[in-house]
Amino acid sequence: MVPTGGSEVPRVGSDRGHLAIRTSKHLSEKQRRQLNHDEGPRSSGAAAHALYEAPYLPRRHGRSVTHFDAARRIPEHPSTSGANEELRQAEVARRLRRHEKDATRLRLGFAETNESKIEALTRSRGQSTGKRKSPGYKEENRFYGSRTTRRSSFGDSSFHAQHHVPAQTVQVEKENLTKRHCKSRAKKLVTAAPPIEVIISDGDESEEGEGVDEGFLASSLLENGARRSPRLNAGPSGHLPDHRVTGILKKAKLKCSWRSKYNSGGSIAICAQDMDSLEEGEFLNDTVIDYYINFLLDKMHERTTNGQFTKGVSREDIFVFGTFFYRKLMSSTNAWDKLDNWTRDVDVFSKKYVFIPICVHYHWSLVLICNKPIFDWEDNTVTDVTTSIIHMDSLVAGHATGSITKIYAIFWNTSGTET
Amino acid sequence: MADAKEEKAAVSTGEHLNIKVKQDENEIVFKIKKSTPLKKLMNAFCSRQAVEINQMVFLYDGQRVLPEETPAQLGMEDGDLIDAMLHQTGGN
Repeated sequence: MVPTGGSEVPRVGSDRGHLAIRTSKHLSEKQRRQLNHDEGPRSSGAAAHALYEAPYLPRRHGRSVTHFDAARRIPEHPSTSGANEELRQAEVARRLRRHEKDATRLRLGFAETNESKIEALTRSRGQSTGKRKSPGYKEENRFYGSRTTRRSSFGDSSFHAQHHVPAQTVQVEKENLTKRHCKSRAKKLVTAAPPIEVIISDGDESEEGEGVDEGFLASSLLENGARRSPRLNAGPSGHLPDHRVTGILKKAKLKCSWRSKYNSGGSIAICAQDMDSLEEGEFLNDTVIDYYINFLLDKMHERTTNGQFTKGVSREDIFVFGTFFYRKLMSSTNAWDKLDNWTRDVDVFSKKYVFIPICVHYHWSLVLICNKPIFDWEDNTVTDVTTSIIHMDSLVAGHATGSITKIYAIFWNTSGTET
Repeated sequence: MADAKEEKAAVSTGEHLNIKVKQDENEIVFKIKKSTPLKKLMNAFCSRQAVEINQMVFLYDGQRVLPEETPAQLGMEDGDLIDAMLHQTGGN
């Protein structure tokens, strides 16, 4: 069980929290004593100062003062507990004037309140304007006795804070304001996007119109009511999170097809979805890898033909399989017979280097088959011309190198060496 | 008008191809005219397999096939096989 003394502490804490939100307006004598007690005897004065030093913050427009009693709620500063009645009266008069001023401010328009807000903010930083330097103000300074000028100005501001909107509330409202501002900004950006979308999708639709030619696909399967408009299928899938650029591209149904200039390979269609895989934290797509490999090969071909790239390996010595080769090879037992068509244009066995990208278990690795003279570093001579299979994996516990190289060794009908 | 005539002629001379589309163990035979874009075939296959078309890759002899391409462009013959593959992704 929690002792009664212990249970007292959170109540005080909650009271303080309540006070912090509602400011010292509702601070009774008892509560103030509690507060001071909570701060400890050494810092009791400091706690009171913290209350007085609440920054002057302007009243929110539209909020009305329900009740006002100028004579009440004049705080007793610890250092001026014995302040004389004259100064007290002066303070009361000053506060009455201020109240009237506030009332007129409320009656005025929004622009007026804004101006007053700015004025008030500058005042809260201690940069009191000349307007405010009235005799009453000087008296105030004396009211706080031995305080420094800076402190007295803060103390002055605390009076306004007492019957104005609490500091915390105003800050929250400011945050809300900025949030709202951001929202409206975002809305503007979103509304700016549609024109692009409309233009491109129009073009796409006209293309689709060409493609749809009903009645020539006499598949028996289509008779089962599986016929569907291609437009329906082309809708946004949304199985990947739409990033900013990709979302726009997807809406626009943008697609780019790329064909290697020198390879016999088919075109590679890169769509918005593939751009997603380039984002950080996303998995790389096979389309991207296929494209990049072919792009590099094209670059290499250009350099070889231009004569810039004379040393090393020529483009003719290299062959790169597509990304689906490995999966196709693994999918069936007698795969080589079926895969014969895949390399019918090229004699793979005459190539010096054959690259095979592998994607298993959401991980990419690369196999390199070298039909190359092996250099013996000990004897410093070329010992043999062998075929070696090198498996390159970025992960230590990535793909099973042994099984992969074995598969290729069987596929290649030669013995493979593992690295 | 000329196109329509050509198409009629094509139908009469039997310019249709039987093309197999295979995904893993599922094999479906489609009958398609040589000049028809393969988009129609792909859409039919995807709706049959309940997959979205942008999740699939179609390979003819290991080369990617675009939806706009026609069997005639690719030099397809009767009984040829198109491989349908799901996209592969991987990290690291």
